[in-house]
Amino acid sequence: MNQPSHGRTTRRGGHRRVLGIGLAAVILVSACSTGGSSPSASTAASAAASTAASVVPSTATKPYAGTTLHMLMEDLTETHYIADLLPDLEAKTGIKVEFEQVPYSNMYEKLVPQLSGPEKSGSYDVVAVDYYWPGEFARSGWMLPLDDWIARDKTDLSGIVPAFFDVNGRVDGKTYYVPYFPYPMGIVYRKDLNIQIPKTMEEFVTYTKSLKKGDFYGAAMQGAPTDPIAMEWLNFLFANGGDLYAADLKTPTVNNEIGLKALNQYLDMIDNAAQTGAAGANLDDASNTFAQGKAATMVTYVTIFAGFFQDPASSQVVDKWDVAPMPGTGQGNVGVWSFGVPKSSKNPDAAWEFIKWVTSEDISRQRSLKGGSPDYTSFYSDPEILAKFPYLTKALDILKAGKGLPLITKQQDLVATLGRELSEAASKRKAPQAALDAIAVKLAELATQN
Amino acid sequence: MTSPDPAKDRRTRVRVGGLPFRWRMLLPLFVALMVVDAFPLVYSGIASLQRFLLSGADKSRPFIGLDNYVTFLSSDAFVNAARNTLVLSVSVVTIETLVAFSLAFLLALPNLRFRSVYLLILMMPLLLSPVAVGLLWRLILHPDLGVLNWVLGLIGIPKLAYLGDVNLAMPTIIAVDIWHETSILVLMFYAGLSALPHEPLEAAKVDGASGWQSLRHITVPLMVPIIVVAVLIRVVAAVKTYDLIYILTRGGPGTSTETISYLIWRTGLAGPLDIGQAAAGSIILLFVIVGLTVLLLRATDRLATE
Repeated sequence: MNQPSHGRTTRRGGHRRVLGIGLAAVILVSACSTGGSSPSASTAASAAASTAASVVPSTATKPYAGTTLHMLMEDLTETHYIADLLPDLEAKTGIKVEFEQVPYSNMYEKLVPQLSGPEKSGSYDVVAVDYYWPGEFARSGWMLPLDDWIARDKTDLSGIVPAFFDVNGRVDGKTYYVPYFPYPMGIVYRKDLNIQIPKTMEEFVTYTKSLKKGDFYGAAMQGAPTDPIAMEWLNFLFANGGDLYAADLKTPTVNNEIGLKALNQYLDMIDNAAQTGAAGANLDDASNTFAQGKAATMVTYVTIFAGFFQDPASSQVVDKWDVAPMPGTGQGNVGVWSFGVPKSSKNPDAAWEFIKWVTSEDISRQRSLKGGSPDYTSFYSDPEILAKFPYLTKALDILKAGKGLPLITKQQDLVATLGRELSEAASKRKAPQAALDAIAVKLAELATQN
Repeated sequence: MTSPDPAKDRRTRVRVGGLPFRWRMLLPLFVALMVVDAFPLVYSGIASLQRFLLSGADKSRPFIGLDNYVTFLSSDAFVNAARNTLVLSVSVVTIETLVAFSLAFLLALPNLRFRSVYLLILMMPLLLSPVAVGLLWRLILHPDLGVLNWVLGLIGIPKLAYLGDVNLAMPTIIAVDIWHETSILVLMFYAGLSALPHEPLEAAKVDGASGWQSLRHITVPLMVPIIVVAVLIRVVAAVKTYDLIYILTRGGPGTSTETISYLIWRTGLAGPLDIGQAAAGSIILLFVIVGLTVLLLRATDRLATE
C-alpha cells in the first residue's frame, strides 16, 4: 500500500472570521493592480526585485558560510519542494539546512520539549508552526518576535495574503511567524463519475449515502482520534453555520442545536456512507481509499494533494478528480503553516535569513509551480501556475470562504479534546449531545486560560 | 617504621585511594544509576507535587500538595484507562504464557526435526521494535487495502474494521501484542525446559507415568520459578504498554484503548501540557508496578519453600 507523503495538516486560529472578507478584499485589489499587464512578467520582475532586496545579505558575501540550520518538518510534499530548492539558499547565503522529516502527529510532541528549554539550547533553529500552535508558542515566551528583523531588512511581505498573518503570523500585535503555505479544507470528488456536490449539507449526507455500493463508498473519511476527526468535523460544523465559541471567545456554542445537527450528520456519514473502519481511519488511510478509486468524495485539504492524487504510482484517480467548497455555508476549515524563530534557536540570525528566503516571492512561486499551496495573492491569478493546477481557482473560493479555530492560547488542548470526544461519539461510547457538552465544558475552561 | 605484616600492608594500600577497591569498581554504575534513574525519579516526585504547566505565560510552579494525585485518580479518564490497562495486561500475560509454554514444550521435545528453523521463525518478531510492529500491522489490518481482509474475503468473510470498531480494537491490540511478545517467553521457557534435570522424568517414565502426568506433576512444578520470573517481566511491560496504542489506535476509537501510560503521555505532552499531573500519574504507575513485583516475588518465595 502506498503511503501519501503529505501527513495531515491543520487548522488555524484567529478572530479569523475575518479571513473570508480579508481574502476577498486582497484578491480583488491584487486582481485590479495586475489587470492588463502580463501577470507572469510582473511576477518575474517583482520576484527578481524581491530576491535582490531581501534575500542576498547586504553585509558581505555568504556571511553565514559554515552555518547549518536544523529544522523539524512534516513529511509532506511542500517540505520536499523546499528541500529541492535549498541549494539556492546555500549559494546565496552559505546556509546549509538539514530537515528532520516526521509525520504530522509526531511534530508537536517533539517541538514542545525543545521550545520550552533555555535560550539557545534547542535542537531546532527554525520551526514550522501549524495554525493551532501560534498562540501557545508565542504567549509561552518560546518564540522571538520578527518585527525588528523585518524593519531592519525592510522585508516586503505585503504580497503574502494578509489574512494569513491573522491566522498564523501575528499574536497580540507582534509578528512571530511568516506564513508559507495555506491548506483550505473542502471536498475532493470524482469528476469522471459525474459526481455533483449538492447545495445543502442535508443533501450531501443523503447523496453520499446513496453512492455507497459494495466496495465503493460515498465518502472516504478520517474518524480516528484526535486530529483527523477534529479537523474533518469542523467542516461539518462550519458548513452548517455553527462555531465553537460565540463572538466573545468565551461562551461555547459547540453544543447548541447546530453543533448537534452537524455531529449527527457526520456520524450518519461515518456509519452509512464511508469506508469500512472510517471511525479508526486517519488522513493517510482515507487518502489511500480515495486514491485507489474506492470513494466518490473526501472532505480534505484541497491544495496539498496535487502530488499524491496525480502520481500514477500511488493513484488510480489521476486527472479524475476536482475540488469543491463545502455545501451549506460553503465554509470549510482553513489552516496555514508558518515559519518562526524559537528563543531556543542556536542560530537566530541565520534562521531569519532562511525565513526571508523561503517566503520570498521568487522561491514561493517556484514552490507553487512544483505543486505547492500558494501563499502569495498574485499566484492565484498567475497563468503559468493556473495552467498547471487549474483547481487553484476553486481553491481560492474555498480559501475566501473558510474559517478556523479561535485564537485562544491552548489551541492544541482544544483540538485534543475535540478529537477525543468526537471519537467517543463516533464509536457510540457517548451520545452526541453528551460528547458536545463535554467539549463545551472544556472550551469554557480553556477560555479562561488566555 | 615498616609494617611487620605484609598482608595488613596490602589492605592499607588499597584503602589509600579512599574507598575500598570493590566500591570503586561499583562507582561508575552507581553514578550512572543516579543520573539515569534516581534523578528523573526524584524530579518526577517533586513535579508531581507542583502545579507545573509547560506552556502559558505563568511559569511559576507552586507546591500544591497531593492535588495532582487526587485530580488524576478521580478523573473518568483514569478509571477508563485503568480498566483498559487491566484488560490488556491480564489478557496478554495469560494468553502469551500459555501459548509460549506450549510452544516451548513442543520445541523441547526430543528428536524434533528442524528445531533451529522453528526457533528462528519464532524469534523474528522479537527482533522488531514495537513501532515497526505497529506500522506493519496497521497496513495488514487496513479494512480496504490490508492483506488480512483480502485473505478472509477469499473465503467469504466480510470486511472487518479491526482498529475502527470499538468492539474489535482492544482484542486486535491484544492479538498484535501476543504476536510480538510471545517470542521472548518462548525463549525463556525453552531455555528452562532444556536445563531441567532428566532424572525425575526418566524415573516417572519407568514408574509408568503418562506424558500428561509427567508434565503436570514434574515438568510444570520444576518450571515454576522460571514461569514466575517470565510472567513478572511480561506483567511489568504490559502494564506500561504505550507504543502499540500510540501507533495502532491513538487510544481510540474514542478512548476505548487508552491505557494509563498513554493517558500520562497525552496529559503531559499532547494536550494540556500538564507535567504535574503526568508526573503524578507516572508515580502512581510506578507504585502499581512495584506492588505487583513484590507480590509476584513473594509468591515465588512461597512456592520455593513449599
